[in-house]
Amino acid sequence: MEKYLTEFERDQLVEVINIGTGNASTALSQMVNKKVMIFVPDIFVDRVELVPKFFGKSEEIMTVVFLRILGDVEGIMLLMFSPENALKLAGLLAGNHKKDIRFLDDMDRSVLREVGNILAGAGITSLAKFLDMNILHSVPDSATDMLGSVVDSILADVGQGSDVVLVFNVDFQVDGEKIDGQFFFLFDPKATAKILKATEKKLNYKVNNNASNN
Amino acid sequence: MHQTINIDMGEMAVGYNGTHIKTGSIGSCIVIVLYDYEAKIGGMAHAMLPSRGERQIDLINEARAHINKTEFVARYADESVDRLIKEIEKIGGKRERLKAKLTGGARMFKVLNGDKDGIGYQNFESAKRRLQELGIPIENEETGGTVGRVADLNLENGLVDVSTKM
Repeated sequence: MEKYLTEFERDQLVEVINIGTGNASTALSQMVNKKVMIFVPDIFVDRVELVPKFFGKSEEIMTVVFLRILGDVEGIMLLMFSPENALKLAGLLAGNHKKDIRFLDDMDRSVLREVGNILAGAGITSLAKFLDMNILHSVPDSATDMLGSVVDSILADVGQGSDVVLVFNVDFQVDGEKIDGQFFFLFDPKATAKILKATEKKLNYKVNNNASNN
Repeated sequence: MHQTINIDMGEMAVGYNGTHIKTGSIGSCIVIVLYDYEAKIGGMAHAMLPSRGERQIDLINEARAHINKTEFVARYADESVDRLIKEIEKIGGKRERLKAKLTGGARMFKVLNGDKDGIGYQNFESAKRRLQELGIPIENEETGGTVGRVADLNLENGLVDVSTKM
């Protein structure tokens, strides 16, 4: 991975993603009225075909909420749960507890998409503010199927425009409910370069500011 | 006991009688299976994109300069068909006797790929077009929908076992 990004660039990107996911998890915490813990982002850069392994076991069933990041920086945001955790979360928010993912009805799916919407809203707005950019997100969509199949479709979309992709993974946990989930952010090299440029600009600005104050 | 070859996205494999070729979790990708019933030789390719546009060539050259790795052999559906035929002929199959089967090409998300049909359908169309151009009959297809699939080709009889989990 070192050949794609320097250590400093990597730290910059991790910090940017931390800001986004930090705000997103605060939103989730307010929604469920529980403490939400997030972990340090994991970063992975490689050829599109090699990325599925980073997501997890390919034949495991997962519930994925998908949002497209649009505007000055384009990318993809994913929210991933195991079906059990997706059910628990939907149950917590909609107030009906089900035991089998096959009974997940339109209402539950809608709840999960709405969770995606709110989390993306919080996360992406904070990113846009931090990077001084205009960033929006699309309407959410969700799918529950074999992880490999879902990821495969998303990567085909990324692969149309780029050969290499940058993936961030942030685990989160809702305290007390044992609901774990994962955020994923996908950016192509062009978007990554834009983010790095924006953070550098921000850092320089801050350094200059401090210098002039002194 | 048979031997199983597992392939992932962007890969292909060919083999003889007594082997299975399996590929897991197919989404919008297209899986092309070619089989020669007489020689009991066949192969499978798991392609990700419909075809190589002009823009793609630039991108790949650009990426190659950075990565110094060969391209995945079965990245594009139409090229995979040609490649698969070539590999099958190398181990003794005959082009005239080949029969094709297609699976995959699903559409997992509605918001993905703004156009009406989505990339899964484009993949399917691309593979189908190339097979028709080459005059290879498509025996069977199990494509589309919104479901992920697993495909297992038995090279003893050319049967493809397609299963879903949802």
